[in-house]
Amino acid sequence: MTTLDLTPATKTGGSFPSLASMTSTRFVVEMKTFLRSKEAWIWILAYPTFMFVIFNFVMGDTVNMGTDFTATFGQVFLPGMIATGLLNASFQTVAADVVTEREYGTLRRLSVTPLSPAAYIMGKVGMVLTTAVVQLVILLAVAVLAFDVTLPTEPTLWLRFAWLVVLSLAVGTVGGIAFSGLMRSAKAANAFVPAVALILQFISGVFFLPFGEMPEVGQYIANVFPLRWMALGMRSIFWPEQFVVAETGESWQTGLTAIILVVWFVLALAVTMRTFKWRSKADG
Amino acid sequence: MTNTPQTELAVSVRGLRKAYGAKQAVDGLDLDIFRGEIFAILGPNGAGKSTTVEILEGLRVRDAGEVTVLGTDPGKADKNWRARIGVVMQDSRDIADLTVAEMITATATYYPNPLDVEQVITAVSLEEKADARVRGLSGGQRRRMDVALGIIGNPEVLFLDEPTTGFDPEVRREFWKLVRSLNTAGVTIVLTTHYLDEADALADRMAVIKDGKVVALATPSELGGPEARTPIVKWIENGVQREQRTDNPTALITALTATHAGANGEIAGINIVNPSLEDVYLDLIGAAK
Repeated sequence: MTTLDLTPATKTGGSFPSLASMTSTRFVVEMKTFLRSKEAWIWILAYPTFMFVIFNFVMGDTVNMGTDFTATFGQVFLPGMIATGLLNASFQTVAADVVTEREYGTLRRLSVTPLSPAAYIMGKVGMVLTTAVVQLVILLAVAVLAFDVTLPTEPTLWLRFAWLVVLSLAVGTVGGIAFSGLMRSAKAANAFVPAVALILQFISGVFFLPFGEMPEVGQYIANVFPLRWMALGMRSIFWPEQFVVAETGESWQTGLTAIILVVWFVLALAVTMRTFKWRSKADG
Repeated sequence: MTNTPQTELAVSVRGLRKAYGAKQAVDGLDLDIFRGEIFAILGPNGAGKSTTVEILEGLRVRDAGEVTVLGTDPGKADKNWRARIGVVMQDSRDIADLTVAEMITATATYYPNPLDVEQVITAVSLEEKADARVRGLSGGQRRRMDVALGIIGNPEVLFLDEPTTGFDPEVRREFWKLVRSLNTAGVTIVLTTHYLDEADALADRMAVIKDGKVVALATPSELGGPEARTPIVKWIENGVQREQRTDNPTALITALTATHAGANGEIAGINIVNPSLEDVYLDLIGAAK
């Protein structure tokens, strides 16, 4: 170590970095970390596409939902996989990451710097948005090119798609951070988080359709959680209009979907703001 | 820098208390650390020194007492205060997939007045590891990166919690030089350490903490008071080890020679011991043999 000739530590009143610049630093850190963990990014980016392809080969046939109208299995299965992918890229990734970063002292290290928790969280949001968009593009490309899925043409449906994606990711990301506070260790999180996601997937009508034919208890529970509404919203975009008869109340309930997702976002944000800690419980 | 006018306080602690369940980790601790000094905090494991330092760093909430660091209560501190302190924490297990340079560069952007990244990397001798992933660093290299992260924000007060654990003796000496040069540049250093030679080499003043209280506070050469530094004459009398503290060991030995010397003119087991800092320290914490 050579002698460090520091400028005297009298403060010159350098301006504080803005939230935007700290957020962009955190975004770059998050992306680099994500891309350097190959197991993670291959899994996260490919998961919904992988499930979509497998189920198509196993179940692939046409579906009519009791109407005169017929659609390919891929067309019917796609919305659930989009919702699953969004949950995977946001909730699962973020909950596991935050618990790990807390356990290994990454957050503790950040907590003694002037970095604001908001910039840390926004960096995660940026990473989630980026990975989710890549994941969606891969899934939609495979669905269209290999499984003859047709995409909607109406601009209003794409607009709905856009807010549904953003709102779903917002709920998943903030929910993941809030959920991380419940996990005592990375080991527990790695076991528990995917289990929670899997149970939600099964009861929310992501794999088995139509939702209305699921056991009623499962429906009641699923109605409380966001995934059921994310999947419903996606069905309202990618399913033929005729299939609305398969839904509860024969309605897409788009307004209710938006309200429920916003309520979840606000609740998760409130919990996060009240409970988010840089440090683990073991640190006191 | 003992010549620094000791007027302005960097750290002030009055009646600090912190309990974990039934254990009173910090029990009415008082401490003043002046601007510009290197202050060492010593004490056995569990004495409350880490808890105290973590309260000063704003990492722990205290039960009672008054604490200010740079004039601000760390419990209510904001980012402006955090930008003025640097922290090198004790345990670092970060498994980041970032490189050393990326990690330090990112951290620099959180501060209003960061130091030059390259210069800091050179200062901690990590030039060759600048592009290596953090997760692959050795213990000593990781510790040096911790130090780099602690100083990159150009702090006014730097907390070093057992910073040289796992260092080679040579790297340790180099690190001491770095700490001195930071201090020369005006940075107040608060050092907790297990190594008495480190405290002796670096500290202007040191405090010994035991059972959550300061039991001694002085310069390294005056720690424990004159009594603790008085030479000890040891000898064996009728097969029993005897010892006596005296400022006049020669006179005592002359007297002993007259009364206790054997046929060969020697006193059995005669020995003059000048208590080392370590002896004084062990005395203070009640662990003397």
